[in-house]
This record gives sequence, C-alpha cells and structure tokens, in this order.
Amino acid sequence: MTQPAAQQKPPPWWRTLRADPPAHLRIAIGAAMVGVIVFVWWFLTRGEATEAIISPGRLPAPGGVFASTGKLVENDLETHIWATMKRILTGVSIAAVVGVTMGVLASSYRVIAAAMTPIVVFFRSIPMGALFPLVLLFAAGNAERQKTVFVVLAVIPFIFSDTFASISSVPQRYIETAQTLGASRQQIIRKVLFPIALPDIITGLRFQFGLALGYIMLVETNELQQGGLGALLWTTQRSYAVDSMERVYMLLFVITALAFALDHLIRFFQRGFFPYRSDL
Amino acid sequence: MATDDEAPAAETPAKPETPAKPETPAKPEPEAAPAKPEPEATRKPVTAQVGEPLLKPLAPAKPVPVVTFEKVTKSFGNFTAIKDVSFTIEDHPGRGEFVAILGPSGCGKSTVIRLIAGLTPQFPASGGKVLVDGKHITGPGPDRGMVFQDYTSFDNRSVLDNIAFGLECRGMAKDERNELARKWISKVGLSVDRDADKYPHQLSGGMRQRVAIARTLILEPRIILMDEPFGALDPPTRSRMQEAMIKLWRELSPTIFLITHSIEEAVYLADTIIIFSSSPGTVLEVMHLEPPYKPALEAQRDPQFLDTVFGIRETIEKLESSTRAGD
Repeated sequence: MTQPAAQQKPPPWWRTLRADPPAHLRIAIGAAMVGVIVFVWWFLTRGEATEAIISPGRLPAPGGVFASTGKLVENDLETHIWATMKRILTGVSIAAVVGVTMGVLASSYRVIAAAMTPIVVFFRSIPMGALFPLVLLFAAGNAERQKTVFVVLAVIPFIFSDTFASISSVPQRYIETAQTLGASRQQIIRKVLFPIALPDIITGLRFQFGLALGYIMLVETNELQQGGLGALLWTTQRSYAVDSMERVYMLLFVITALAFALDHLIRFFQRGFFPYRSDL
Repeated sequence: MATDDEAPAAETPAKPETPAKPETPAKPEPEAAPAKPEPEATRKPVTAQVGEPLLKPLAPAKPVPVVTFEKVTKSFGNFTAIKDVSFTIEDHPGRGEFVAILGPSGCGKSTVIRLIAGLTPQFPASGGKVLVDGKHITGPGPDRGMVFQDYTSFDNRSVLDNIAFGLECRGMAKDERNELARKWISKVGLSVDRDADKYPHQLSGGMRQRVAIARTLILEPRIILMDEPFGALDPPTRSRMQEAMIKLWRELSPTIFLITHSIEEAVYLADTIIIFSSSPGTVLEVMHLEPPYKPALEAQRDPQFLDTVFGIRETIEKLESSTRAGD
C-alpha cells in the first residue's frame, strides 16, 4: 500500500482483461491461426481420394484449390466478376439516390417520415428471399433488370433508415447556429445537415454493399446464362470438370476477397474525403 | 417613431436610395430603408452598416429600445423557467451596450438569451412581450447573432468556410465573401496563412471559439448573444478573448448580451449587469457600470473593480443560500 509508485509495474497484457497484445504479436497470432486452419485442412484431405479423412468430392486438398485459380481465370472469371459488380453498383447506386434523398427529407420533414414508416417497416421485416418470385414475375423477360431490381429492393429500406438516423443524430446545436447565421431551412439541409451526416451515410452505404453482394449471389442462380459470380459458382459445382470442387472453393475465396476489397476501397475514399472524421 | 430614423439618412454621403444589395458590406447605405417599417425592412439597416464603424450620429427624439422584456414568463409544463422578467436595454447609437447576465445556475439566463434569439423551445414566451427594436420576434435571424458555449464549428468546413457561412447563405459571391472572411480571421487574432485552410478538429478550444465569434460578427449583427462563450477556456486564453471582444465591440458597437458565471468577467466587460435570482428566474437587480477602458488584467486588479465584484458576489451568494439552488 505504501510502496512508491515507481516500483509498481502495470500487470502484463495477458493478465489484464481487454488489454491488447503488441501490434506485431497481434498480426503474428492472426497469421498463425491461418496456418493452423490450412494445416488442419491439409491434414483432413491428405493422401489418395480413398484414404483422405474427408473425401475430395466434399473438401479438396488446399494445393489443388489454389492451383485451380488458373483454370478459373481461363474460364472468364473476370467477366463474371464484372457482371456481378455492375449489378450491385447499379442497384446500390439507384437505391442510394432514392433512399438517401428520402431519408434526408424524412428526417427533416417528419410528415414524410410518418408516411414512409409503414412501407419501410414492411420491407425491412420481410425476408428478401420471399420477394424473389414476385420480382421474377414483374421484371420477367429482362433477366438483367430482375437482378438489379432485386438489389434495389433489398437495400433501399436500410439505406433510408441509416440516412434518417445519420441526419437525425446531427446535434440540434448546429441547426441553431445556422439559424442565427441566417440560413433558411433548405440551406440548413443542404449546407449543414447533409454534409455533416454524409460520412455516416456513406458508412451505411458501405454495409449495404455487403448485403447486396449476399443477395446477388442468390439471384444470379436464376437465368444462369447471364453470368455473374453466383451463376459461376452454381455452374462450376455442377460441371464435370475434374477440379470442379477445387474451383468452387477457390471461388469462395475470390468472392470474400472481393467483398473485403470493396469495403476497404470505400473506406479509403471516406478517409480521403473526410479527413476531419478520425473515427472512420 | 420609425420615421425618426430618416434624419441621419440625409447626412450620409450622397448616395441615391438604391434598394439593391443590402448584402454588399463595403458600401454603407442610408440608415434605414426608412419609409417602410415592415418586418423585412427591419433587417436591412443591420446589414447595411457592415464594413465600417458606425460614425453617423443618430439622435432621434425618442429612441426605440434595442431590447425590451415586459413581464416575460416562460413555463415548460409545471416548471417555470423565468417569471415576470422585465428590463429595457436602450439604444446607444455609435456605442452599443454590453449587457452581462449573472445569476445562480438554473435561473433562466439561457432562457432569456434564447428568447431574444428566437430559438425553440424557449421561444415563444408563455406570457409577456419580448421586443427587439420595438417589434415582436418571429424567429431566429442573422440580426441577432449567437455564440454558444460549445464551439459549434461546422466540422466539414475549413476555418475560412466556417467564417463565410452566413455570407454564403446570403448569396454573396465566393471571392467577395472569402476576402471578407480572411479579414475577419485576422481580426479575431488568427493567422490567415496558417489557419484559413485548417479544419476545426485541428484547432484548440480557444481558436475554435475565435472562429465562432468571427463567424457571428462578420454579419455585423445588431445584437450579439453569448451563452457562456468563454466558459470552457483556460484563464489566460479567457482574458485574451475578453480583450479581443472589447476591441471588436468598440469597433462595431453592437448590443451584446453575455451570460457568464464569472463575476469578474461581467464586471470587466459589461456596462450593464442584470442579476437574476432563481426558481423561478426573475430580475433581481440591474446595475450600470463604467465601460472598460483598461486591459483585462490591469482593470481586474483595480480596488474599485474588486469592490464591485465582491458586492455582487455577496448578493448572489445570499441568493443561492436562500433558495438552495445551484449545483
């Protein structure tokens, strides 16, 4: 109790709740975990097809999976990636224009919010898969449009809600300041509320890209000839290629990497555009 | 009464009554667009004075007070924030009045200021009359600038764009407003070269408050409302800001309302002090003091200054112990 402070050391991180290990150690631990997973994977799939603990028809060996990348690229992987990207970019963009506009207006003019609430509650609550047959029916004949429309429907209620929340959480004090500086209501929306909420609105959009990617995989299994990663996944699994399973697993990695890259690309731009938001 | 304002119009350098460009601050216009005392017209003279100190002697026979409170009451449900508050702040053309509002916590000081600003939910009052230039307030406006305690810099705007915000809302051209904003950056003691392009998160609290003050004063409001503007600053920064404020006040001569917890600050800055008592808030005393002419630190060592401060402190302490208010 009476010990001088200089002699006391804080307890080491491994004996302290919520204390982070040093950065290099954190990375090393992460890398080791990947190593363990690949090792277990290799162990479960080693040897001939008949000797492997898990048969290659279900889980092919890691070497074969990585080696199948070449075959995937030869089979128009790039085209499929672009087909998928184009759909989610178009879908989310359309949804963003409508959803953000409506969200900003609804947050500022609450009469619009009152009118929008039942619609948003419906679309947020319904499992999107349940709407799929209807979308097929309504956008029948144009498989490309079906897919985009589905993405739009899936993300728009969330974009609306996120925008609404972002605008609403701008402190009232900013509005009061703008008012005493002579800003009109429209100017407050355009010059204060929207720009201050914009970084958060874009964070919301970033999450919606993830959601859209999830839905597009499902939708692309319809009308397979239209391509896209979902279609490619489906057709690869059913193909008679010797390494079809290898390619399926490789595709999963590709899709994951794509989602990760997209998320970080948006974050990169966010940080560039909003240097004053250190929390992004 | 409004026609009295016409007198000085004749004295301003010959310039035909062009109704255009009230937002051009470089040219002072005749004082009042006087023929029409309509609500819109009341804001014009304020902007018209922009740019240079008001030199014109304005001596109407019976001037309209800048701010009048007549038995103003504001209640929120069962809670009465202020009750029967009455005071009058006269117009002193060419000088302006510096009014400090003192009182224990929760005595409705902010309510008074926000009623003048026209900010909800304090505005409108539940009873009584709040008049600015003899007219009822309809809502917030740039003729009544406000500086809040928490620095409400627009985080997404540079210092320059923060200061130019009000001019931008008026539709002033970009070059013109930026030039004016640069002038104001140096007027409040910031550096144009170093600070103009910074964002608020790169500034200290004192610097951010300077930005907020410049952003309000650039519009040359008739009335400036300050709700504990220096409350969050450290003492040296605080006295520097007080001196900067005095200097700007002399230059622009607006009527300033300042809420403060610091009796020294009130006595140093103000020529009128309104002391409030609490629960419910009402005016206890209105004091008139000598306007400040010495630098802050020097003035605050003056024996007479200390006497005044001590007297007010006693009054407020008596109040606080009798009402058991405060925190």
